[in-house]
Amino acid sequence: MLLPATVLSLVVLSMFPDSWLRWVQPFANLSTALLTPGSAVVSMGARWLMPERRDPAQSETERVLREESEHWRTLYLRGEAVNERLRRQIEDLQRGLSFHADLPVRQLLVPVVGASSDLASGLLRVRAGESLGVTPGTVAITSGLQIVGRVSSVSGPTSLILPFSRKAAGRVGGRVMVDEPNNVGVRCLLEPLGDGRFRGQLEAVTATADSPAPPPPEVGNTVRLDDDRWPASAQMFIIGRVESVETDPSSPLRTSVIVLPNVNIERVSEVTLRLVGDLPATPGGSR
Amino acid sequence: MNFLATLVAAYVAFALELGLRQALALGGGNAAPSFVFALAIVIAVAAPPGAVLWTFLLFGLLTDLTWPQEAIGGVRSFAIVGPYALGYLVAAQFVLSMRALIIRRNPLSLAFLCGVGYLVAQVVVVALLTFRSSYTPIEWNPTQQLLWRGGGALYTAMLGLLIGLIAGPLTSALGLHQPPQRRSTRALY
Repeated sequence: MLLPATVLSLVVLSMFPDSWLRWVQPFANLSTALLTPGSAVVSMGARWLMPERRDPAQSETERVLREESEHWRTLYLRGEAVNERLRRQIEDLQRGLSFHADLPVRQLLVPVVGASSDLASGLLRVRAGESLGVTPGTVAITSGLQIVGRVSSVSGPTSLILPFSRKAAGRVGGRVMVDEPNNVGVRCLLEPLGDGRFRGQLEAVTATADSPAPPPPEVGNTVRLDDDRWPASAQMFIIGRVESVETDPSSPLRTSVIVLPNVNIERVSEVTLRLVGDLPATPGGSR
Repeated sequence: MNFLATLVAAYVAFALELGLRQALALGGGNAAPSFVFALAIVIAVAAPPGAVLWTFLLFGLLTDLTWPQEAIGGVRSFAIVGPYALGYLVAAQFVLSMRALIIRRNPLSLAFLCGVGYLVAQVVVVALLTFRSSYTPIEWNPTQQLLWRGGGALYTAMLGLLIGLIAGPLTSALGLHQPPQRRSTRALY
């Protein structure tokens, strides 16, 4: 009698809208908390046996130097973007809008301790939770300033990151750096294809007397984040590189690009969380 | 059936499922073997029917709880209870009806049950999620999911073949009844 009743309850529960299933989340958090130590050990072992593929022609020193140069280039580009934003804000202030100063950013390197029990979900579980100040929306990056995604939920000592290359993450605004040394980029709206790549149509730029038309995009161009829906501290981080350039069949005058992230997002072993604001106070007060 | 040994085996299977599945995934990272289902099949071959149904139900429920769904467009995830629990239960019923017809101690039998049983469970999961996707904001393509899960079933069958080679000691460790050796068949372990 108990089994048919359980089956009936499960049939009903499986049909409930997600808003009616919020009470399930504590049980999900509990089961995850119990299973995470085991999966973390297995995950570490698997990554030790099957490490991420790296360019064999690139030495460790070269990799570090490239990363450093990428870091300073990102800061420079972000500075330029901030200048542009400030210029717009000054114009807004003159119209009476309020001004919010930028909040400090902390970086936290955390290991990926497992994934989901079903591969239909590409969420990555990392060992960092509320106590470290992780909140939904926190941006995660990996080596080479490559964007990984954003935190979708925080449950106790762990958090789930939704990779930005998943279809569920939605579109992301990018800037194809068609002339990187001179910091010339063309904006595009990239849509995840579901296989780890993105497709996007480049914004049409008309040449004026002051600014000539930018050069056409090429395979290998870096694509950086340029999206107001993402935090300011994540702007100009790397989305990936142009894998191919094609003409949009629906509008032949427009150019589309296929963008591939520099790393396999769903196979990263650790990520850096960019936390906005100071470390939260521990419960019980300070001593 | 030794409850403690089953609990330990289940913990190891879930740890492998959550920690290793992504690394073993093939076909663009969408087809991977299920360690939990393979363990459930080892139990299903030798345990009493009632215990088999409850074990599959609990394994399915835990799989549901450790499968966070990605909400479209938003930075949000949630758990859905039911798809795997019901899918595994249907698979359990299928295995119970099949186990009388197979040579239980042959690793190929375990591989067959793992592959076909997993496919049965996944058909139920896809059917329920396809129905849900009409009113739940999730990214879901039923045809693609069935293809990927079909690949997963083949992969699970291969895992079943490997586990079949150690099924004897594993069944003993779980305190399950060893089926008597038939005179007409020769055990491979």
